[in-house]
Amino acid sequence: MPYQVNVVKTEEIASGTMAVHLSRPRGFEFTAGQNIDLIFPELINIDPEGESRIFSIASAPHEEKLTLAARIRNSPFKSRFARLKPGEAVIIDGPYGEFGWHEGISSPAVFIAGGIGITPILSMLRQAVHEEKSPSVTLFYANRTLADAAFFKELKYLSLESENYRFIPTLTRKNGPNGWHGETGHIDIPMLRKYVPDLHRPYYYLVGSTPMVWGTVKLLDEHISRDRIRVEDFTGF
Amino acid sequence: MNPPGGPADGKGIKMKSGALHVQDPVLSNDAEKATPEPKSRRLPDWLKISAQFTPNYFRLKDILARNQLHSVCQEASCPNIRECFGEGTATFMILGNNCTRGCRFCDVKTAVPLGLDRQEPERLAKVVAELELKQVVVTSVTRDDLRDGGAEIFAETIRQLRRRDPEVKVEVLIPDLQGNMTAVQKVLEAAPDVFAHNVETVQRLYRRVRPGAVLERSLEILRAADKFHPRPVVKTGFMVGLGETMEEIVELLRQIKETGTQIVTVGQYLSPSTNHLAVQRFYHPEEFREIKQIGERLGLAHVESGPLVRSSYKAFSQSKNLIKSIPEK
Repeated sequence: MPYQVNVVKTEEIASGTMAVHLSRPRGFEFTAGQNIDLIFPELINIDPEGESRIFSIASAPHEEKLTLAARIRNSPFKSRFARLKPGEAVIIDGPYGEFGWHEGISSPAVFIAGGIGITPILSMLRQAVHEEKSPSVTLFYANRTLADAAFFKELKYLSLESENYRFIPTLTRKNGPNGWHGETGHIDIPMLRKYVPDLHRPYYYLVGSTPMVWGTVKLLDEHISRDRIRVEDFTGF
Repeated sequence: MNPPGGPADGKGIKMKSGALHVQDPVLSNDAEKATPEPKSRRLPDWLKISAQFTPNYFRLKDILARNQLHSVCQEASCPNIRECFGEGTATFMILGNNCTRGCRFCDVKTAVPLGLDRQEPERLAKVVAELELKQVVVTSVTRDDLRDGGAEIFAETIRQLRRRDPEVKVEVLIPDLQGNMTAVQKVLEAAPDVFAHNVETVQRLYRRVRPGAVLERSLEILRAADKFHPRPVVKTGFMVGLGETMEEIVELLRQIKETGTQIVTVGQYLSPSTNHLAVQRFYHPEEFREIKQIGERLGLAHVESGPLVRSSYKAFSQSKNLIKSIPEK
């Protein structure tokens, strides 16, 4: 369902990455992990890929605002997104999507996110921390460089606040910044095993590009049943 | 002739049938309130279906379930299911019932597929023989988890069907196989009578309607089928009612024509649930006739255009003049 909402705040959350916080319409209900369309009707016939884009909601269902985030690229849509100002009215449509927690999950959860694919996971994580009834969660978060890692401070802070949540960032450009003590390289089975000794137990949530999510499903195939995996393929978002 | 409020030309309908009902007074003036359901979402008379459940319907449903087979008729909540099942026909959906894409118009479940069933082609061929079908339509979910997108299972299904009945006519409706043209060739080499791949919607709406898909990639698949020897009948289809303009429809028909495609199906989009994109406009049957005329004027051999037209609905009546010696069912 379409709604008109207002931009409350915008901020740069990583190199070339913007977050936009929107007012939440009355009656707009969603579950953590779902997405919405952001629509700029004035871009009809201007952006060849259309006037709307899909955004996973990064805020949690209990929060007052809707947070969206995107890497800024050189398209009319993304340029318009980057120029949004507090107080502006925009149109959203949704919520859509089936990504989210498995029902009645009590086993541990492993989140695996690449780049801006962190947004639906952040929503699920914020919800889990808020409700204090989540299973233990381990988040593996891959970015090329630390500067590219959206919401990094919050993700780290949440891990310090919650005993149930462990944050494992990894930088795929081999040399991390000075003082980087985290992981480097792509998320693979040895890296998972280092932090999740029993790979059979958890439920897995994968978000990123087509090669990333389906490549990871293939890696996990030898270790777990596919009905314990949920994916959100960000290609086309 | 246009229905009241319908298109006079492409420009005229842009806002009415555009991506949103942006002229709605609540939406434009009263921020943070929900937009009420457009009145137009009530089904017009020409979309009301009177077909009844018949014993044949339940028999076919039972046969599919017993053989662990799926039909797109059931999985995608097709409005024509009672009629087709009642006549003993179905469009088989292979490669499981979990789709790796989350198309916003489609009712097939998005989830990680649970594996690859290599016995499925044989079971399907056995059921086709049991039902004594002479014409079969086979489609599938999208399988981005497989390197070839499931092309080998498509090819094997065609081979198994022909092994049991060399005369059977086979139409395949494939997903985009992520544009893997080697995989597309694999399906073509199995020599389906009709090779179909749906473009689904106009260029502008792709990201919204079909995330993860690319119109140019789909057109390339149709071009490859047209160039293949022996050339199958090449077919595609799309929906209207998602917010496209008449200009965009005409442009899409032109793009399709340029690929060498012979058959195009055009049907009314019906929203499967409130979790799917809403219908932006119901096209009048007269508008469907206009679309058919435009397509055929552009040189397309056959345009099947109507409110309840679906890609696989009465598929072989669309292609019978283009396939040599199609036997009656």
